[in-house]
Amino acid sequence: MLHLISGLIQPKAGKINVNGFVPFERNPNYLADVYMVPEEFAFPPISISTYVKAFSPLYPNFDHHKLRDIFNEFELHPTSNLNKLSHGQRKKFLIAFALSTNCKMLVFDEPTNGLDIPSKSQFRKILVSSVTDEQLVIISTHQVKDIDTVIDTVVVIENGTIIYQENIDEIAQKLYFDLVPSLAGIENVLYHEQCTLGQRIIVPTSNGNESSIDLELLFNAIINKTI
Amino acid sequence: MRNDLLINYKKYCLAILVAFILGFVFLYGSMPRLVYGNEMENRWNIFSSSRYMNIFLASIVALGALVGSSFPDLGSKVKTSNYLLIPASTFEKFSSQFFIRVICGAAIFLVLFWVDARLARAISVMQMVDIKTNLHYANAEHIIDKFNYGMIFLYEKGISYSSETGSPIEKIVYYKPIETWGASLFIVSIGLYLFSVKLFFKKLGLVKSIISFVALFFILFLFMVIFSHIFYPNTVGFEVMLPSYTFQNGIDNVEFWLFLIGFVSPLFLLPLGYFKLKEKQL
Repeated sequence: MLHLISGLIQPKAGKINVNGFVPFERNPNYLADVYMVPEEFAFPPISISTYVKAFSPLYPNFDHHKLRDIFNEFELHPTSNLNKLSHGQRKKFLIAFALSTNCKMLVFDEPTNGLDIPSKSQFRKILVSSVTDEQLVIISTHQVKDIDTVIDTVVVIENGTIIYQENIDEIAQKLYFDLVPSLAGIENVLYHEQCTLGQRIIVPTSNGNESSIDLELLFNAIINKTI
Repeated sequence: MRNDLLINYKKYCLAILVAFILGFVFLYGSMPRLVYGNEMENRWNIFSSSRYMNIFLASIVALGALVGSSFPDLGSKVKTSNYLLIPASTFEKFSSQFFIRVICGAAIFLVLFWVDARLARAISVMQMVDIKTNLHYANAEHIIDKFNYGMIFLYEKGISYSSETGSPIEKIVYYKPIETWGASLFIVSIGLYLFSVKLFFKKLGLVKSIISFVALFFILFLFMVIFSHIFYPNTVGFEVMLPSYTFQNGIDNVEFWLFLIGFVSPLFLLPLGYFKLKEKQL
């Protein structure tokens, strides 16, 4: 799906239209407003500053101040050679560059893979503070816990078909996530999973109580078709 | 293009430097610096247009390697993804590679070869020694011709002697224009074929292109054999019957046919490569 949206592959059937553009036509105006952070990436053997100098003019809304701030947050130095950085640092650079392009659509494929725990936290913080309401951020991930605080819509795709699509607020209004010692006395359990402290459960929300959403549990419930 | 130059300028500068040094070494190493006796005795030793052209054609392989390395980002899936997502039109991506690798590459190659040839000649002439006297050879400039690109058209240059007076006459024979242009366009065809290699083959592009080029020639040869058998029933085995005749304007039919192949194929290769890039998928 990410490749289709970014125009890297052509749909086998049907048509795709994003903001009035057909992605596969790879119109420069479209590409200048879509930035994809792939799971795997390669850089030429140049410094960060040269990379920025070479590629930033291609994005008309590129914000150099934002880039500098994110570099400070991620502790990246413009003089460093991209190919001498660790995988995690290179990923941080790519995320920083992507956010600084201010593209209307940002596509992240497994953005937290390769990041250490503090960096994951920094990523969430930077993402929330950098993205505006005019921007759409699509995150594809298997590490749902890494991004559970930054998403506002959950889409689950199985074999190319959307099997679940719900806003976080709506999920919180409908479902209640809890950790209980045992299932005894609990009614209407939609889904449960055993853990070391007892049972993680999903039940319908009652009395307007809301809980923090356990995305992993929700995902397993969706896959097991109990929701 | 600015993007490409910013990223690869060190690589390009290094390539130019290496090409300059290798070209000089190659030319200087081929030029004579020891002579024996007078000019007549050294006629066999003269470094003429044909020897320049042999080295020139051998050096073109280096240019072929540069042209064959066009679209370096299409070698792997990850790099291809990055390249295709660069916000530039397919035409810009295609033409920037064409301009840098083919136009600039060829222009720099021609300039480098010219400079190398002149420099190597100047040094060789200065160092030329007559073995007989062990002194600098005074007529050294006559032993090594001064290089110029007019030599491409030169078939033979020498001295013949008048049968009546016995006086020396300078004899200059040029190639027929169709031969020169046919050969030049044939080189251009190979260049454009190499340029498009990465668009058709993801990995081992140069090797696969050479194999496919040989295969194309083999297919052409087979067609010729088949046509020979059809139109000339006396043809035996893999014999190719290619009767030669001359048009009214003096052009040979085989030369004209080769000229057509050389001239027409680049016209197809460039748009084919462009559309291949346009339709490129991950």
